[in-house]
Amino acid sequence: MLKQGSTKTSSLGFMGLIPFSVVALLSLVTILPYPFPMIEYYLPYLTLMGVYFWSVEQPDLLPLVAVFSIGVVEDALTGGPLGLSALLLIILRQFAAAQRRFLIEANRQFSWIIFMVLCFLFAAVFWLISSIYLGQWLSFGAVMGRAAMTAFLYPVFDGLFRYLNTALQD
Amino acid sequence: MKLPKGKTFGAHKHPFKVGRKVTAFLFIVLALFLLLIGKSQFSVVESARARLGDFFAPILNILSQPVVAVNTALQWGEDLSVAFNQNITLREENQKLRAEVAEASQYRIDNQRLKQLLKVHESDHRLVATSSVVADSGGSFVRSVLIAAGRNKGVEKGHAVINEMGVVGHVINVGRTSARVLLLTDLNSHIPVKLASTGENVILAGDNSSRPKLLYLPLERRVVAGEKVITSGQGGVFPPNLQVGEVEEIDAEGHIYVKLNARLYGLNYVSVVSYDSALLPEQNQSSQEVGSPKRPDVVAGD
Repeated sequence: MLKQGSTKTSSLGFMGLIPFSVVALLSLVTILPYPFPMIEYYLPYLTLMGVYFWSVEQPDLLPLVAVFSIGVVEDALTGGPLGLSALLLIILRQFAAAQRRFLIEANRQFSWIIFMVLCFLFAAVFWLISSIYLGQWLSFGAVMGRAAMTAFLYPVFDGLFRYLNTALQD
Repeated sequence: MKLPKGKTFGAHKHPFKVGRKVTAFLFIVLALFLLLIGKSQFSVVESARARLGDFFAPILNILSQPVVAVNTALQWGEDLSVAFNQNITLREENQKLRAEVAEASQYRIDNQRLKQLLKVHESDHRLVATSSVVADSGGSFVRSVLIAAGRNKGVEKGHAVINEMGVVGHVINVGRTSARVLLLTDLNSHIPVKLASTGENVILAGDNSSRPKLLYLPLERRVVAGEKVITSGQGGVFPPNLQVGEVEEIDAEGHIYVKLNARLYGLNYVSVVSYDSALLPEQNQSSQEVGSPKRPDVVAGD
């Protein structure tokens, strides 16, 4: 049984912008100049977490155009291949939104496992396309490290997103 | 979402769902199109990047303030932890340096006199701007940072970027209020350097690791760990004699790894410098004829 449908955007006003704002903020937070060495090996894909959660819980509040824009801006600001993040985030968003009934009915642990699989797939495809695009095999260990950290930290962010989602539904 | 009367889920394809699939497909095509034009229409994409950088630089500047504060606190703690031992070392060094200063000032005077006698034309570099770093690519594929200074501060593509420790990288894309700096560690970074001890010209090539490699060293040349690496000034991007780093390791396959002087993670502030490389003899002659004055804002000539 589906617990809660996607909340109607029109009834929420500015609150309806929360999912987009949160994901956009996470995207910007990812690219700040952190004072930690070798961060490319463990910096989590925060945008990925946000897109996955909100695509499952409130897909209407995180429309395709929003996901696309966030991906393009992230690529532009990081200097990476323009359009790559947008492409992969759109695919992830479509998958998560298509399976949302199934993912909502499943327990949190199962949803986390699905996220883990998607996260490693995302990282592997990101690595493959980037390597082809740049014409050189890039560090596979770095993307896997980031994917592992993302998967490991997801429950923490899931909790924060759920808190916001409850506030939206109240 | 309410369904039209008389219809239920699963009975027919929902028109909005079909619409969403089409929209998703269009966005996927658009993203692929962006990837393709990023390769072929590089200048158009770079211009778009610069505009987005301009728009987001102030926002990132605000967001990075807590990170800057943490960075400063960590640096302060690090400094404090080594202050006692460093103080003893510095006192000893200070005594030695005092003796050397007198000797060095005499060398400097002699050097200037000899250069005047030989009419040596020296290249100049000047400080263009000092800026905060507002974003770091942080990714596994690109080593670059975004700074909050662009054409409005006189920054141009190709300008060298340094900090108090040494060379950081060079500007590859400039917007009105922001610029992207390719770090020395990036895969695409190849800069002309030389070994300080002998002046042999080599190339410092990034490979996305924290230690770039030295390339094109003469086969007979044997390098030892600890040799200083400085910019050679060739190529007209980096002024000569800027500190880059030192040879850290030579592996069994002969790869020479350089430990950079500048710490490239968590950069706070950097300086952009321009370099007026030595003119060709005929240009030099004409510039002397018109009596072009030396720029007043030149910060160093060596």
